[in-house]
Amino acid sequence: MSAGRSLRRIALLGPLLLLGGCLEVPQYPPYENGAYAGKKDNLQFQRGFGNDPEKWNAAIAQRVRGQNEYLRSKP
Amino acid sequence: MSARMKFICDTERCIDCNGCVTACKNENETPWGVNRRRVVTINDGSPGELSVSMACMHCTDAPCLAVCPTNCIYHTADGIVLHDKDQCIGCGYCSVACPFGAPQFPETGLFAHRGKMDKCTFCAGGPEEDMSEAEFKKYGRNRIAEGKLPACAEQCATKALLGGDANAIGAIYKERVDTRGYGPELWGWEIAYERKPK
Repeated sequence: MSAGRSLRRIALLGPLLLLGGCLEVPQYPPYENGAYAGKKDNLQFQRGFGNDPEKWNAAIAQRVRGQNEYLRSKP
Repeated sequence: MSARMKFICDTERCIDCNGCVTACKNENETPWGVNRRRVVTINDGSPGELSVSMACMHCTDAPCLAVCPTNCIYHTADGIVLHDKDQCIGCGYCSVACPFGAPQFPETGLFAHRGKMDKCTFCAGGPEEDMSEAEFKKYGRNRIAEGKLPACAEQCATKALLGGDANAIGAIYKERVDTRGYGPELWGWEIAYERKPK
């Protein structure tokens, strides 16, 4: 292979290889600090308890106490 | 201060009746193959066998929440771990990260297609309008918004499974241990708490 032919090949392929790098796109998505990205949820007492957290807390506390049968009869 | 909702299963009381599993399926109408709750029996058939009812433990530092690539899992104000099914891509990372095997996938098909993740919601629905049909279809019933506790805990015949504010159910459990005079004869208990001889 003559030296002229090699030079011509380098002159043709060189810029293509160099420009090939320009097509690279960053592969790393930005760091989001792990924040929740889904739909926003409403608070549990907003719908059924007229937005009254105290009322809801009392209802739940009553149910929790109901799980303790020792309140009804001590063994 | 808002409650931090947790489950406790008293292994000395659990009789492996699977009532909690049935109640969960009935309440949330989960599809065939999806068991948000199940009962695990250790040393089945041997003297001293113990059963424990397992589901999502609603971890305070939840590993599923940490690994989710789409950030679709979140904590409610009451410490319940819920997720947005519209955001879920069914990758299964949460299933690998969860130490309790809580995440369930409804489908098995070609190309490892699993469908959206499904798990115990503490009967608290999900990020849809509370007590709406859309919420029920995606996540099951929202008993918490109705001022009730999860169906599994409330129907437990022996009251082995307790659900509710961590401090309150912890106090109920402590009273039981004080009354019967011994703690849980649980696997790993000695490894974790046995005092080493000086």
